[in-house]
Amino acid sequence: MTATSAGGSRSTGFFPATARLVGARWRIAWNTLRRGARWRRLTYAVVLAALAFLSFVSLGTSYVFTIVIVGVAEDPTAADVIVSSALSGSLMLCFMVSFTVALGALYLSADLDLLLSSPVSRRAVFASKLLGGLLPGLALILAIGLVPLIGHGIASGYGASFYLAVLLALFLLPIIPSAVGATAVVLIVRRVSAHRLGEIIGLIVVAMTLTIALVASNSGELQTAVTVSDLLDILNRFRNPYSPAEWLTRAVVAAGRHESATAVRWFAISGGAALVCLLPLILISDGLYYEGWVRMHSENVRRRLGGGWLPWLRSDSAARLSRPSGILRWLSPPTAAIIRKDFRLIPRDLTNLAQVLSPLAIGVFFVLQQALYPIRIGGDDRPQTFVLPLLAMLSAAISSGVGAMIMSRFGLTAFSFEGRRYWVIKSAPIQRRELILGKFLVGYLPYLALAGVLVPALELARALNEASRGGAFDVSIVVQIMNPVIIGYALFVVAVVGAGVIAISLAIGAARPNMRWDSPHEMMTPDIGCISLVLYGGYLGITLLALTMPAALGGFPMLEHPGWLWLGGLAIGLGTTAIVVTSSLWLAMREIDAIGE
Amino acid sequence: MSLPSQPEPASTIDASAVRDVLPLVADADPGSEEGDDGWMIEADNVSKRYGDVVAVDRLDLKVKRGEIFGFLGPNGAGKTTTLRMLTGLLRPTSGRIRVGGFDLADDPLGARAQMAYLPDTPYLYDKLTGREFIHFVAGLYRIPTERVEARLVELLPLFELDGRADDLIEGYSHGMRQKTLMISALIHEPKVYFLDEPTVGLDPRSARLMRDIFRQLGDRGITVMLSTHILEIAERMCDRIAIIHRGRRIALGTIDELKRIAKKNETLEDIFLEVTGGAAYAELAQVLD
Repeated sequence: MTATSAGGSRSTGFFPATARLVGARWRIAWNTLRRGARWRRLTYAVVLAALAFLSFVSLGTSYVFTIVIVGVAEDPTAADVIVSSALSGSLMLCFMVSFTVALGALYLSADLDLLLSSPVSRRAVFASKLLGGLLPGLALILAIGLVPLIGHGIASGYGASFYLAVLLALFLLPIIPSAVGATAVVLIVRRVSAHRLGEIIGLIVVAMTLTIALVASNSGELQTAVTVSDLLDILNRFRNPYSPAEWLTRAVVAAGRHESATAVRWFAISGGAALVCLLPLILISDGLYYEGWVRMHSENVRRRLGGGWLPWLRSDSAARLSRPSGILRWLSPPTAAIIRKDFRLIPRDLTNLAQVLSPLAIGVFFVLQQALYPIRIGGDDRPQTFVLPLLAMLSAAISSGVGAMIMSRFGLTAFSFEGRRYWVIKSAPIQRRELILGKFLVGYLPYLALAGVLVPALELARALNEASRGGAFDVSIVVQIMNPVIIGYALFVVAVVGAGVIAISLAIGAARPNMRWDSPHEMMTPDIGCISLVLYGGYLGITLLALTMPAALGGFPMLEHPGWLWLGGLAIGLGTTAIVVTSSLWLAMREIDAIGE
Repeated sequence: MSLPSQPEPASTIDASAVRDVLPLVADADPGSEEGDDGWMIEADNVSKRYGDVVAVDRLDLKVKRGEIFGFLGPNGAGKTTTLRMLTGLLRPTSGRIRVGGFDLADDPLGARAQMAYLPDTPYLYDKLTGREFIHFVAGLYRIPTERVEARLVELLPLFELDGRADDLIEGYSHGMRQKTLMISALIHEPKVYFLDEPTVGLDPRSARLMRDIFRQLGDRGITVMLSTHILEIAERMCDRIAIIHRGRRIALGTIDELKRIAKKNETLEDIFLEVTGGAAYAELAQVLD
């Protein structure tokens, strides 16, 4: 069936077909929830309860802020910045979500082949996919945006017109980002494969994270904004008269003050802009959308390795998969094969790579932060010797956190990563401990490499800043801060903590694998994210405190402590890690046989 | 009613080439790896339940060394579930399985070292090249790299993959993936092959090549158990056939034995429809024609 002939044979009307498809999608979602495992439903309930609690906090905060701002500024309109911030934040999140979600919903859904080859209006398929994909995320974002507006409305004493205007504003707000995101996706997929675009988007998100981090680290203004007036000045500077969020802010506050004409004018402008953005979407939702889908199926997928110096792109190193060599030479061939296989697969898929680069961007941010605005104790003079271990331990904690962010992701999905290919490993004569060791090292080796670089980098950044204070560069300060004993101990702490984090991740990943994913984004399920946060928090809290506190406070003259404090810290830290690693790996080994069934 | 038999496509591969590159170990000493009673595959009262659903019900099977054993059944009969249990991918709810004399529950590594499994849908690592995948599997089976390289020199041309071995698997067709899997299986020289619909998705030449290989494997004393919907393949290749229906084995024997059981029927298709209750569907198909 060709693109043109297919279009002519569509018999079902747009609205009935869209309603039927959206209805079917919601039925699937409802059935999934209703018939899902009990623990999954419990997880959703816990997440909902947490959101409810956060909403309550958000409502209270905006209520108090409104009263404080009006009191300090002695101007009721000063608190409009809360409406502006809530709507701007929601708009930004909608923009960030719409592009990726539109791509996934419009081109990467598993049922598209069935829908687009059936006699259903293509526009109906387009609309239902877009609505089904975007609505849950947008609803959550808008619900989060709604709560502070309610708090602000209560504190300002606004009537019903304000709340009606808020609902209308939240209805209009996501239309522009959704329409722009979907239009961009349809146009780009005509030129770039949807799968490739999905990978590239991951990198774009990383670039955005890095940019935001750099802007934040360079501004420094928010850090010094100590008064309400300073804060208001900064927030007001973000108000952009050309932003739809600002138009809706003006409409909402005007409705709250019963300035009907103003409210109607700004709503009309916002609605008009939304309509303008929707028009091209309606135009492209038939022919161009279908063209992109056809292109996906007809593209030449033959790909050879690019070559070059990057080890995972070299085609002449295939034999290393069956031969343990280098630092893996002491491992059994199956363990080495699993490690080498994962070290090839992870960087070759940009979606996986993006998950590494995002936390890496945060690591770069911290290094820049230390280089530009280092943490300082004891005024602006030369750093006191006794605070150096404390600051080095902070570097260890930061490095552990950044490293754990990256590697826990791969630990949590160590088995899900195999997906439907897990049968290759499961049917092979490989011992459970060989598999666990391989997966452990896939997370732990890069963690050690990353954290091992980050600790000295953070210290060096701080040392360079300290050394260049007051004009002349003082090398002795660099030497003083880059104390090999202190940095060595910091690296030891990082290595110990990392082992525990990876082991916990593996246990969770083995107990809750998701082997039936189509896009790498689907490997992680929300429930394992929640479980892991709780476990990491508990483990890192105990271990980092026990291992770093004796070292951090060791130099303080007023805290002369005996050696037993060190020993106690080491015993607690190492003991906790030993218990956590042993029990987690035992749990993972116990679960392995059930994976993939 | 049986389908008119299609003329066998001529294989472009010389049969002697297939013979030459097949595992030398195939001529292994008889009885060295088989069970106490000489069986290479033994399923004893094996069942698999999913809640209230019984996918496989008290299945008994025994397959001899060097036998090509066909496993037939309608859709959803439990063929794939059975093969997945025999390969250790699924744990049976009850019963005992031995492969090559190793009990799958007590000595899973010993059993797995004896076997190769080719699933019906070849899920492979899309971002590995074919060559890398084969080396990866060889690593899992502890095959020395030098032996892998030497075998690849012979096997890649045989399967017409020598020009594509360094392409990423994501660009491979279904047939190329099946061939990649077959090479990775041949390299570790198993004693037992479990093949789930091995010729589905293959072009006639490739299907013929696969059949030649299976026949050669059988002749060299290697056991092949294959599930298939193509009755012609089963009829032509298999030494014995089991028919499974709704999780239960309902027929077992050589083609001649099955014909004797069914008495009036002449082809495997007739026997299959008779024992699985599919005759009514055949009549329905005639009406639709």
